[in-house]
Amino acid sequence: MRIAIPTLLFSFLFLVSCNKDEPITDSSGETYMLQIPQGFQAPEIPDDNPLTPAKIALGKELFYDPILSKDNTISCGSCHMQNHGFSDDKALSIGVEGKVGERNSPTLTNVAYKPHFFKDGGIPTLELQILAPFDNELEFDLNIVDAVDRLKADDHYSAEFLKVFGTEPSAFGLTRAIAAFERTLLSGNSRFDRHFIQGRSVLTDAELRGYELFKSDELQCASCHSGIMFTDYSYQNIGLKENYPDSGRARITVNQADAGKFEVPTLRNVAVTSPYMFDGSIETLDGVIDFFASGGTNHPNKSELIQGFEISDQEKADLIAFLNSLTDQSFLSNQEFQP
Amino acid sequence: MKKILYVALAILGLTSCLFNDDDSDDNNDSGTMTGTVQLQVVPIVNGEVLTMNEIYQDNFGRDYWFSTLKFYLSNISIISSSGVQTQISDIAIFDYEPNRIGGPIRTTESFRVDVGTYSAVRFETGVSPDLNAMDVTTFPNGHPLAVQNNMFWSWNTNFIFTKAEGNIIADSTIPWFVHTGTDEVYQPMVSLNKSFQVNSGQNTIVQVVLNLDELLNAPNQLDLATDGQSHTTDNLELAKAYQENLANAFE
Repeated sequence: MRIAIPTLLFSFLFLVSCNKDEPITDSSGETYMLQIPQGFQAPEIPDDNPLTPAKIALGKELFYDPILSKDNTISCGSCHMQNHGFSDDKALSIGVEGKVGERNSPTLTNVAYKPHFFKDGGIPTLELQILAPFDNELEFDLNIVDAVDRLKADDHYSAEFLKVFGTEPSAFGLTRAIAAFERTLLSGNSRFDRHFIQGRSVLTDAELRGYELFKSDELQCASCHSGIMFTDYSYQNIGLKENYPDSGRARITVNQADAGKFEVPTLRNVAVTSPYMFDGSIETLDGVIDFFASGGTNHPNKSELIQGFEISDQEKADLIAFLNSLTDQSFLSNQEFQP
Repeated sequence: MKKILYVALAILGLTSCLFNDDDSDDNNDSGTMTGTVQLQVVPIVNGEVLTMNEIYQDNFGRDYWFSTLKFYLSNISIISSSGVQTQISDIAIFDYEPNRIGGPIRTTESFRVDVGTYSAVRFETGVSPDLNAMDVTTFPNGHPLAVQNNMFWSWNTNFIFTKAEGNIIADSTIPWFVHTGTDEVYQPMVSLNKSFQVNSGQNTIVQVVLNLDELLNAPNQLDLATDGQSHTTDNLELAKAYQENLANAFE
C-alpha cells in the first residue's frame, strides 16, 4: 500500500488552465444609491463589487444567517449587533461551541470608509475581511469551501446567487454580497452631526464643553480620533499593558516596534460599543477616561501622545456627554439593517 | 519495492520518457508544432519516495513524519538547447496531502510547449508578489490559487507558499508545521539541468526530485522538535530558513 499510493498519485495528470477568469460581478442591472450622510464624501466602491439592491439584500440575509458557521449557531450578526453599533456587548465574542475569541468585536459603523481591516490592519479590503471568521476555529470554524457548498445545497441561496451574480454560490459572491450590505451601514445623524454639520444647534453646554476638552492640547484625544470619522486609522500603542498577549500590528509587520499597536477606532456610536480596548478590558467610558488620565503603562512602544492628564469630575462628565452626542439613534434603529 | 519504484521514476525523468498523446491538436495558435510537458515533482526521503504518515528518522535520530506537503512554484520556464527561455506557467501547485479539503491531489502539472530540445527547467518557490497581492476569491475553481486549495491566510490576505506538517517524537510526540508566506520569503530562481525532447503531439515527463533530507538540513539545519512551528510572522526565522532550504532541495 505504501507503494500504491504514490504510484496512483503519479499516475494522475491534471490539466488546469492558469488563466484567471474575470468574475461576473452582477447581473441584475439595477444600481443602489447609497444614502450618504451630510458632510460625508461618497465611499469608494470597488469596481468588482457595484452596489445593487438585490446584492445588498442577499448580503444582509447572509450576514444574519448562522448557516455559515460550523454548528449553525453563529452569524456575522451574532457579534456585530445593530443596537451596539454593530459591535458586541461582550469583551470577547463567543464563537461556535461556546469558544471565546481573542479580540473585542469592532464596530461596523461606517466600515465603508475603512482603509484596512482587523485591529492590526492585516486585511486590505472589506471583501477579504469577510473570509476571516470562516477559518477561525474561535468564530465560524467552517472552511469557506464547505460554507459555499452549504449555500449550493440551498435552493433559495442558489436562486439568489444566480439572480445577483449569474452563477451558483461562490466564495467570490459570498464575500461581495456581505461586503455590499456592510457598505450600507452609514451613520452620520448623531446630535453632533445635527449641530455641527446640519447647523441645528442641538448640543447642550455640557456636550460643547466636552468637545472642547476632547480637542484640547492637554487631552489630545483629537490627535488620533480626528476627522469626520473620529479616527485617523493609525496604529497606536496606548500603554494599555506592560506585556501584551496580542502582538497587534507586529503580527503583520514582524517589527517589534509595532508590538502592542492597534488601529485607532472610530468614536461614532462609541457610547453603545462597550466594552472597550482591543481586548474589551475596560467596561465604561468613565473607565476609558481614567485610563488615559493615568498615562498608561511604560511599554517601550507607547505613543508619546499618552502622557496622562488631570481631569475633574465635571470635566469628565462633560467629556462623556460629548461622546454620547456621537450616538446616531436613527442608525441604531434603522429597519433596513435588520434581518 | 519502493526503491524499485524510485529507480523507475528516476529513469523516467533522466530519459525524459515519451508517451503517445491521443490529442491531435498539436499546433499552437501561431501554427507552431507543440507537445505537452508534464512537470512531475517527486518528494524523496532517505532515498525513497515519500509516503505520508510513514515514520522516518531525522538527522538527530528521532522519528518524524509528514502528514501534509503542499507548495507553489511560480514562473516556471524551460530553456531550449539554444538558450531561449520560455515561461510555461506563472503559478502551479503541488499537493501531496491525502486528506485535505478541496481539489485533487496534484503531483504533476502539464503544459503545452513548442516542440524542440530543451536543457533546463527554472522556477521560483512561492507565489510571486504580483499574484500574492490578489484576492483569492477571484480565482475560479481548478486554478492553483483558488480557495479550494486552502492555501491562503484569512488574517493577512496573502497566500501560503508552502504547507508542511507532521509530528516528531522527542520526549513526547510533538506536532510540527511550517506555513510559509509573505513576499519577504519568496525565493528567486531555481535552475535545474534537465535534458528532454518535446515532440509534436506527444507527452514528455520531466521529473524533478524534491530531496526532503535537504529540505530539513541544508543550508539551514532545522530542529523540528525544538523549533518546528511557524505561521511565518510568528516565527519568521524558521519560515525563511525553510523556504531557503526548499529552494535548495530540488534536484
